[in-house]
Amino acid sequence: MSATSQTIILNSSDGVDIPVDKEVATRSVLIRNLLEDLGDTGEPIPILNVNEAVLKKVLEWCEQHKKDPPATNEDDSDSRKKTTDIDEWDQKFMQVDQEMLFEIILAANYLDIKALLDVGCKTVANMIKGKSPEEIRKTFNIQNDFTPDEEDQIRRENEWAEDR
Amino acid sequence: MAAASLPTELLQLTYDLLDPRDFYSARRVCRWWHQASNDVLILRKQLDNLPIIQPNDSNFRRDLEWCLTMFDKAAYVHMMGMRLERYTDLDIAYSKKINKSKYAVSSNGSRVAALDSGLLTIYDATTEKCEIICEQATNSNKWMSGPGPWFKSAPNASFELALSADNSLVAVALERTIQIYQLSTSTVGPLCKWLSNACGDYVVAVEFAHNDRLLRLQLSKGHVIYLGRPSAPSHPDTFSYWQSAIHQVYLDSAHLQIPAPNAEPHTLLQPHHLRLFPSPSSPSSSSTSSTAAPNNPIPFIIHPENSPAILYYTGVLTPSPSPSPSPASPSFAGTITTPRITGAIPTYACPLLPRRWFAGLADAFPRVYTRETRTRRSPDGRVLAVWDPDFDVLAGGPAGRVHLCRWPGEGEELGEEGDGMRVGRKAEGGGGGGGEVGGLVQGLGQGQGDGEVGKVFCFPRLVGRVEGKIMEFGFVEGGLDERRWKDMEVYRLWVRTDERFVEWDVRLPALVQ
Repeated sequence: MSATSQTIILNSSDGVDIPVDKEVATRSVLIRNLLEDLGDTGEPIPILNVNEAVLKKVLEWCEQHKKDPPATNEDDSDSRKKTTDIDEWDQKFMQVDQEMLFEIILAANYLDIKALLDVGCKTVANMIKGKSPEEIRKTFNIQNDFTPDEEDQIRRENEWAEDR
Repeated sequence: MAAASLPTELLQLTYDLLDPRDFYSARRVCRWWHQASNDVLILRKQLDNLPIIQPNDSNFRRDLEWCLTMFDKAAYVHMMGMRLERYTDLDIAYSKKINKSKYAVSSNGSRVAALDSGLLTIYDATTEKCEIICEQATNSNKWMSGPGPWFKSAPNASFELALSADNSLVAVALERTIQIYQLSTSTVGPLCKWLSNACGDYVVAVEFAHNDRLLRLQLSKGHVIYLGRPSAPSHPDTFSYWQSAIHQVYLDSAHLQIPAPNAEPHTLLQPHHLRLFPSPSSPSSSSTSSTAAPNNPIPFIIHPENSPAILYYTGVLTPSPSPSPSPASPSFAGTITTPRITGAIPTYACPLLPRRWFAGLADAFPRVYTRETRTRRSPDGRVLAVWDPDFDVLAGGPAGRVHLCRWPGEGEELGEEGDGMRVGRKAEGGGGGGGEVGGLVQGLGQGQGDGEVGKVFCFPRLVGRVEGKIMEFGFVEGGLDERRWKDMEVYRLWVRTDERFVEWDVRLPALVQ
């Protein structure tokens, strides 16, 4: 399918119609497949799991990256391992509150936008790097819900040495 | 939406981007994150980035249980849970205060000894200006303040100095002559010893060891001589002990023959830079008694010339049977029997390590090619610290880096049961293969047999860097309140250079008792 300036309408989970260039929207494999399967009927395309705020944010990313080459399936490429290697624009884009960050990751996963999903995961990974478990909990406001027994169990690395 | 409720597959995508240490931390955040990390594919990827001998046999089942066991072992050996805090960082700059470029500092930092133009000067380092406590002329051909052997000339820049731990003695070494001075009085001449059996060699470093019961002499060609007689009856003071002990060679590494396990053909290593360690402290044993006890395996390390690794050994030390009848006669040196390799620390010279291992454990290795490299063992015996001399390009002066690594525990030795550097009793595929050291480091990352599957190689962790020339470093015994850090091993590591005094608090996940 060739990229054109044709506009389509996406309908967010909270019922808001959002017009967007087809070239931008088809950064999402989900939307591209829907358009290919259903044809361009002119009807709004329901995006069931993404609300207006998150969808607009995702489309902002798609607009910025609409000229990028298509993603490949090289999951384990070295470039993906460089967690700090995030494009400067993407770094600024991801400077959002954590709730929005995780909503973007979920939306990228749902809409099948692999490059955005990578950026999201890299951002989270960078927030984890160099921190202790307690520091990670503070960063993400996570409760330590391990029971004492489970705490013992996850310290399995010491069990094998207990005969020292 | 919160981090704690991210779907498993998205958490796993994130885990795939973490190095082993960060993955280790993430596993311990909460139940949900921990469950998401218990995935065989995720764990296999993490293990691929760790220095573990993986099976070549496609029939070997790297199932979840095996992967978890191996990751946990690697987490222990590589101290993945280590937390560091630079506790103290003082600018001490003794050289400016005493206006001397070469001097020794006592282990507690309260005394400084300097030698200039044949005059030995002791300073009180607890005072702001390092006030002079006492001065003594050294015993040379020029001054002759006591019995010989005298220094052939007034000590120049090539002398070496050491202060005893109790601040009562100063040892001075010049070429092959050792003298010990008592600081409390200048009326008693120094104790003197000439190293008759170190022909063509000279002392490049001297230090008191094992509660001042031994004097370690590092020679220029790599050999080490320990003077002293730790099993001697107790003496009223350290000086009176050394009156006879200085004539006793407790151990001379030139007389030792240490096998290089698994080398083909079987070869012997020159035990260069040998260092004895007390057995790990326990409530009922002091470091002195553990050193002196006959038939008690004693831990030691060596770093042979051109070896890409510091090698850990244990062996049974057989001390000299009796003091030499006279200072002039050659002393019988003790020996170490049944030396057994227990581990190795790869160094900067270690060749051909797979790059992927550095991705996960990216700390710089010690270079340990100079005679100033020093090592200390933690009081509980679980950790070895390595001082690696360096040069500060920006400041244009000496500096150094401190590394920590695990000391193998009982049952984790290299070579035991012919299992190479097996770590942990749950290792699968053990047995056979033969312990190796000659090929230990050289063989890392190359094809191994099934008998070595599950070996975890110990890599050092970088603690930090300190400016200045090393004076002394070590661990503080009982220096931290362990009650503060539940379930943690806690150490205070200190470094004293001629510029700075630095302490770190080191916390590691503790062993389950």
